[in-house]
Amino acid sequence: MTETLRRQASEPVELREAASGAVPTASSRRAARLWGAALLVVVVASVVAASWTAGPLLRPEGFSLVGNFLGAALRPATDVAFLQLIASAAVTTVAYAVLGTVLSLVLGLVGGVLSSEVWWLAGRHERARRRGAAGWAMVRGVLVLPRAIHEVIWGLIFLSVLGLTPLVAVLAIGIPFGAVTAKVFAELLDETPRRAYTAALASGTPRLTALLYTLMPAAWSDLLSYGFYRFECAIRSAAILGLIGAGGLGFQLALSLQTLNYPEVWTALYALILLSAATDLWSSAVRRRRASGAGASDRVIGGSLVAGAVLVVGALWWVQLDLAVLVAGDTWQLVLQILEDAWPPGLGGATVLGLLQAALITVAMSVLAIVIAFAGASALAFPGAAGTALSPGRWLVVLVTRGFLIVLRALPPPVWALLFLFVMAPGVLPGAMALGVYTLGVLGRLMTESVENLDRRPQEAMRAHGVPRPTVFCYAVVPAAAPRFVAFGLYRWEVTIRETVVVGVVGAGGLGLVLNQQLAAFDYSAAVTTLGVIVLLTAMVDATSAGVRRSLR
Amino acid sequence: MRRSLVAIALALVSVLATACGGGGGDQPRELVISAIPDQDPQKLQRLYGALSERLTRTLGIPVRYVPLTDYAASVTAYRRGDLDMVFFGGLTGVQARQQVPGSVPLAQRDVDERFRSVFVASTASGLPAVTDVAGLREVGGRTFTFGSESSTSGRLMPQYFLDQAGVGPNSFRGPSGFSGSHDATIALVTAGAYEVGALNATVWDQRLAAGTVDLTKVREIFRTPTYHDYHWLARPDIDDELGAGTTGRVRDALLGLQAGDPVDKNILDLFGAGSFIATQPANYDQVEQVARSLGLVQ
Amino acid sequence: MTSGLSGTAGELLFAVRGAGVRYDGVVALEGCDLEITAGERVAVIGPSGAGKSTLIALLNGMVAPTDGTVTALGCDLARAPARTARKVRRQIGTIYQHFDLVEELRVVHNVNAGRLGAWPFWRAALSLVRPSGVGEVRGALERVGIPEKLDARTSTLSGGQKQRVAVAKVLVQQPRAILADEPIASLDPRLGGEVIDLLTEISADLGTTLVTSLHDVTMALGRFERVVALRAGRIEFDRPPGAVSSGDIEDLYAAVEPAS
Ligand SMILES: Nc1ncnc2c1ncn2[C@@H]1O[C@H](COP(=O)(O)OP(=O)(O)O)[C@@H](O)[C@H]1O
Ligand SMILES: [Mg+2]
Repeated sequence: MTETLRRQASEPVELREAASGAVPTASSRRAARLWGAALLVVVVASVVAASWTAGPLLRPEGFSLVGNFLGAALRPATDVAFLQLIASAAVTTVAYAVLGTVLSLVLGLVGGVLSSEVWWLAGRHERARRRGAAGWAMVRGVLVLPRAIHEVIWGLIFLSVLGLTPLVAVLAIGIPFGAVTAKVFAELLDETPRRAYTAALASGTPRLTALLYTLMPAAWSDLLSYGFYRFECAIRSAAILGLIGAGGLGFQLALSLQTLNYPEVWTALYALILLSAATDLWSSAVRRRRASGAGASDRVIGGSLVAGAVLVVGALWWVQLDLAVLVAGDTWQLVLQILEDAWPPGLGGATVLGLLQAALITVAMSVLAIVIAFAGASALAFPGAAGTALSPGRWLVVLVTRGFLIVLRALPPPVWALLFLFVMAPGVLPGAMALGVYTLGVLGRLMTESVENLDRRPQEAMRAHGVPRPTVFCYAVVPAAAPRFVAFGLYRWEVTIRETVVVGVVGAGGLGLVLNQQLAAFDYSAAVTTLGVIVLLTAMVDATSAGVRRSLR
Repeated sequence: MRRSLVAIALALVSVLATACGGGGGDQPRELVISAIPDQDPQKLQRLYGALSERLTRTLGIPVRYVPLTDYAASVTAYRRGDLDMVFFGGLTGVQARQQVPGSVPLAQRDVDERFRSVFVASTASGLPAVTDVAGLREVGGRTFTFGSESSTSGRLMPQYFLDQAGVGPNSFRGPSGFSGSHDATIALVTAGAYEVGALNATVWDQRLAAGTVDLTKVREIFRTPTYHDYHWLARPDIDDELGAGTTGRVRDALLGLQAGDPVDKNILDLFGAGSFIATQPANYDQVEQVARSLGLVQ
Repeated sequence: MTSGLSGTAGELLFAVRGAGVRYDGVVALEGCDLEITAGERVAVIGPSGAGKSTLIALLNGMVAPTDGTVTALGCDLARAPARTARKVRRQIGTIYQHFDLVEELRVVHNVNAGRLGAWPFWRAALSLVRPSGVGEVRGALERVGIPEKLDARTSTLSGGQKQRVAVAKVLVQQPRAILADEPIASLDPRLGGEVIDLLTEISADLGTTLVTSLHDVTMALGRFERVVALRAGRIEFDRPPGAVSSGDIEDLYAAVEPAS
């Protein structure tokens, strides 16, 4: 007993703290193993659930239909009128994306600080920590709600309150994205080493100021790259929101998809791909400059700030945003009316058992999707990451990988679902594949950037000692990247739960299907119940993710 | 740099301020319309200028067309009064009328009087053609896909006829799919993803005529009895808002579109119609009953 | 730099009475009694894990005692309302082994971080765009010998320079007491000596109280007027360096006997 105590005591506590910010204990290692085992069980159960299919798993004869779709990529619709239509739709989409992103970043910054662990817990004494823990749990709980609900559903909600105004799209993007940004930003803050922060608190600095001076600068470049990422997501999301009257690329895409006019679909997809690629390039340029220590006086960064401002002003002008509807007399009355319609929550045609089964299907689909996405993205993140001084061959690999990832995420999940359904039996699996492949594109981008943002010094130090490259990769790159990868994977898992709502075509059942039925029947009280279940699942994923990440830290 | 940032911030604030204060001007009230057509919706949704111009010319009031493809969104906007008149499907029309009591069905297309759905099956499924509704019991135990959840011809009526044949929503092999559109239903049955699907007969006939269907892989097994489908529905308050008699004049404008006139012909083609004809609420009683029995109307 | 804040000599600044700290059952400190008066220069020594860092953290209130009480400048930081505690902490500057600077910030901001406690949030935020109080920052950097690094990005500095920035940061805070937790453990002996000299000089010039934990016994005995020795969480002895024998030091660092 004394022996172990002494051995513990002789290990300099600073070293351990410096490595991770908290002291890993035997119990946290045990927790990590427990989480690992639990996740494995969930994955296996999901595979079992998915292995039920109606008919043979793969139908080779369906490949000719996929071929039709892919073949059309070579001959997109190019008549002038259609191109003009797509161009103006693209501008609309960008405008909504810009405004939605601005709103989400503002909400995310505030919400992120308020939902971070450091804000509530770091540098507090036992007594205050208990109160802090309660506050933290509350804010996190509140933020689950906007996150769990898909943008399209938000769009419908705002549409019923505010009517056909561009504000609907801006809010439908800004609010859920704001909550997601808040979560990610909170996690970024929590992941940043805290020593400087607690040191500032020790010298009597108020929390907010301490945060601004110590954690923000360190988290800033990640937040910046996240902001760009959010913008790209907003473009895709604005595309989907087109359906409910916001116009833009998504509207055109949906129209062409309804009649399976593949050449037109491809023209719209190319526009989306182009926008994604442009955002990607812009974001890399800014990040590279920042990494080299440039500030606002740098040409690229200064130019980007100006360009950002111009985009915001231009977007406001293009969509003619009218905030007056927010305070219009009947707005609150309509809110009340909707609440009245939706309250009390009911079951509609569903049963408790049916909902439970649907929830399990949703979970299984989301788990498989995230496993597929995580495996693929971790593999592609390294070839996709651009370092300094690349050889031309290596550049080619970077470009091809990046391009591939962009295409994967530019095709909306419903399109992927249709394609997978051409060749697979209906069920959980094609849905998981569709969401998985799409999420792979998204995760791949996040992971690529996090590899690029890695601190290179440990790698260089090893290289300087003559350690061979593969060994450096295993010892310096993978361990540094892994926690970020896991964090991104867990975060995206939550998103896939929400996204299962849009792949009803695969005939797997699940909460998405139930919700779509209820919305089609305008059965709001039943829809509230289903949304409640989705919120609950999201909260569970959130808690799991927090637990896993804590045990890894 | 710093100074320019401040300037930008100021510019932003002023734009926001004008954006906030700018609304609420007293423009003349316009007639706002929308449509969710069934076949080749992209044509109408992209060329709607023809329709709104034509109506503006006849009615003498500004007519604005709002392109929407989401059924729930258009019903919601209609209920709020953001849309005055919408070309709804049978089911969505009934739903909208229920949410805005007193709404008036103004007109329907000639084809909507005798609308039908078709059931199509993959040849690989080996399903024989069916001669009557009862024969649809063959579909039980097969994999099956509808079109969009809110479609009358792709979902509501097929589900009704299946019900009559004793095939309930849980009698398929696995949960039924919702392909999202009539064309997607054809493609998925062609691919063999689902053994059977149901869709709008007009779309099916058109695709057959265009030769885009691979008849070695998919074929029609049943054509349903007729029912009433799409129609123009107008809010009851149009007369109050746009002047007495507006509803009647709009109806006359629609019924007055002539296939002989090139402009009108173009508009009618966008809707896949030979002409618009009169209709009445009772025409949708059957659809309403079915919707009620399936829980799609409360 | 004014010395008005340093207070009258002999005033009791820190009082530790019967204090103990336990972390999840691990005893870090127990039964500690210690008084430190204004203007004193105290070295805390002891083997790794003896509780030096914990003692420093008790003094600035970042750790609350599980037994006994600790008062700093007359205030029980563990029980005081947050606002009062913050006011007291502003008068205590702490320097850590790892400097705890923000690598991404320019040096001027890291130095200014020392007095953020006295600034309202808007001023702190604005200062990140347009540094305020640059004159005092430059003065402090001159005092520590690196005035030319004012605008450098902190990540580009060497270890010794970073520790100087940490000292400059405490200087602009104008605290009544400076606490330092192994401030030179990651520096080479020559640089370490320079930093300790700098700290003791500042303390002597301004009359600021200095409490430093150290690994280096010679440094402690040579440059401080009082040495507190910790071993396994207890204060082993507390006397002027002249009264510390080499036997005392040997006992202090000898391996703990296994309990029978
Ligand atoms: N945050 C902590 N959680 C658990 N144990 C800790 C923590 N900090 C210190 N300890 C333990 O308390 C004892 C004293 O540590 P410390 O004060 O850091 O000693 P020193 O600074 O003299 O090396 C050691 O046994 C150490 O492992
Ligand atoms: Mg220590």
